[in-house]
Amino acid sequence: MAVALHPRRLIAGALVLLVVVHVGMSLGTSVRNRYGPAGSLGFPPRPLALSSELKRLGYMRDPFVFIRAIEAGTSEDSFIAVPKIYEGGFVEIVGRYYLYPRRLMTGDIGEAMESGASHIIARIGGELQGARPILTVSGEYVLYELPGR
Amino acid sequence: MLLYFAAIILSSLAGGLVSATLHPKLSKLEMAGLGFLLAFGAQAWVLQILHAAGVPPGGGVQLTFSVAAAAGAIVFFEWRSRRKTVYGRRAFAITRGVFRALPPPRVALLVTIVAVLAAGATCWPVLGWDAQGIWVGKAEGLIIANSLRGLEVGEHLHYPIGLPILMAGALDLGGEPAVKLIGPLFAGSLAAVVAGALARQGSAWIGTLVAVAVLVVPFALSYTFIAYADAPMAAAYVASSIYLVEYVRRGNRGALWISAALIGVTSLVRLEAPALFAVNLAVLILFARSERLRSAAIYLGAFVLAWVPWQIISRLVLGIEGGFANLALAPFSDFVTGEFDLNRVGVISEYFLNRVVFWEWWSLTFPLTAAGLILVLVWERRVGAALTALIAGNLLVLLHEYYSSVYYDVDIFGDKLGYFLESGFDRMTLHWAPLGIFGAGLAIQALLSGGTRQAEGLPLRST
Repeated sequence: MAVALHPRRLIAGALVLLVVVHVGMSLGTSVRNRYGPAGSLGFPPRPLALSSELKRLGYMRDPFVFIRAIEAGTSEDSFIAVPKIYEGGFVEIVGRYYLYPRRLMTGDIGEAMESGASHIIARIGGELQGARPILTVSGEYVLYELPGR
Repeated sequence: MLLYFAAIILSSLAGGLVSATLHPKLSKLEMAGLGFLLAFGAQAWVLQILHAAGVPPGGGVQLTFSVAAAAGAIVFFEWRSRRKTVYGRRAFAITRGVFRALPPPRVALLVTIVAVLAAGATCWPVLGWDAQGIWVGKAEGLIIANSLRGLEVGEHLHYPIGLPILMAGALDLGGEPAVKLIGPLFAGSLAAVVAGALARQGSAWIGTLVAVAVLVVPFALSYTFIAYADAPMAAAYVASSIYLVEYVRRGNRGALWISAALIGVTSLVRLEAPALFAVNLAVLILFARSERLRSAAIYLGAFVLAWVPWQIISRLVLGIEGGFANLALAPFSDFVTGEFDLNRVGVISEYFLNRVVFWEWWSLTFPLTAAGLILVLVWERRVGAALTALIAGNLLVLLHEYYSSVYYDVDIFGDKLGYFLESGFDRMTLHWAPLGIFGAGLAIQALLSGGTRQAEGLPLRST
């Protein structure tokens, strides 16, 4: 059976093709943003493994509490080494923005010392020789003041 | 979580029935999407007043509202059906039909996509400051303080509280995962509106395809995941604009009422609502076929009714100051004092051009939008002009916002304008890029309908 190829149908077909290609091309980029790719915390989502009270209120406020704790334990001229505990962008955007004029960097103790950092945040349980613990940040981390700064 | 789903379903049912009354030609899919959007607006509007009067926020009041709204809507429509009014009979039949019928494959496809979105959303960490410090932060404050005073936990106290109120109920009823489902619900609602509205113009499958294209507008999915207000705002605004275009095209009052109600909903979500309302009002006045003043009065009335309660509550009850009101006038005062910075306009425009046309992450959004708008302009000049004006108006609002942003009193390292452009432009595309893709959908339907069904003397399909 012959199908008449009316110019309007051809244009409509081209537009449909454009839409399909657009959908295909966008699938990857549409699930990314400046905080990184989706699902990087794995599945099932971490909050489901927490207690009901933490699940209800605790987890989502974590970076908020984190920033406020750092703010309270440092001064405006501090230079703070922050571990990569949140997806990319915490230090570069959120932290730098809200802790300004404090300077931030990401890195371990060696890099922090080399860069002249005044403070470092490290996981509880690790030993930082000569560093003075100031306060616990967000339950799992400690803010240390580095010696001689 | 089951109680949360019950609240969503019941309130959406009420919203769907109301939308059926306002616009008798809606498809079931549209009613489902509009049901959620209108229910959110009604709930936020009522609860903010109740909370200001001393009723504590949380899941209980939200569930009570949903049950009352659904019961009220069903009783009302039953009463209407006994009086043999068309709307009442139809709405009641639809309520039964929604629960009885299995969804057709294209609806099942959209539902599947939204389900995948929902699963993805629960895997996202809520990291962005806006989510932490504003929207979710305020919702948690509402629950902890058990009153509107809990808003003080968050930042930017003068922002509308529709979303924090919804999130507070979700937190109380279903915990954190429930909050993360709010974004996908808004995205799904917009997809349903796009698919349903386009299906009424011709092929239902084309409507579904374009709805999927709207869902994958760059960054749209990610912003539905992370508890920002941009995706809910975009869903309400784009849906409002779609019905505004329908009113411009066909002049049916039902589309105008729905557009007006939805533009009112935007005022409960974000501060930009008055500016976006002004864009839509201008398009309505410029392009409506008839009754321009009357239509504008309806539009204005709906917006003011939705917008005013929070202005009163925030200022008179909570004592919150106006926030960025002075920034809104910054470009005009610069102009009057002769300090208007044309160079800044150039920098912003260049950024827009680079991001809209040449951005590698933008996929085919620009050619698709441009081709769609050109074809709609050729096919039906009034509709094409209205869509183009909506998009241009949105870009002007953005230009105004970014021009004023450098006067925002906050310490930011380096280039303040550059920071705001980088941190906000991708989110702001959600307000207008879907409109361009909807235009492409309209063009496809017009080309197919004109070339086949209309040419063969067949009526346009209606679902």
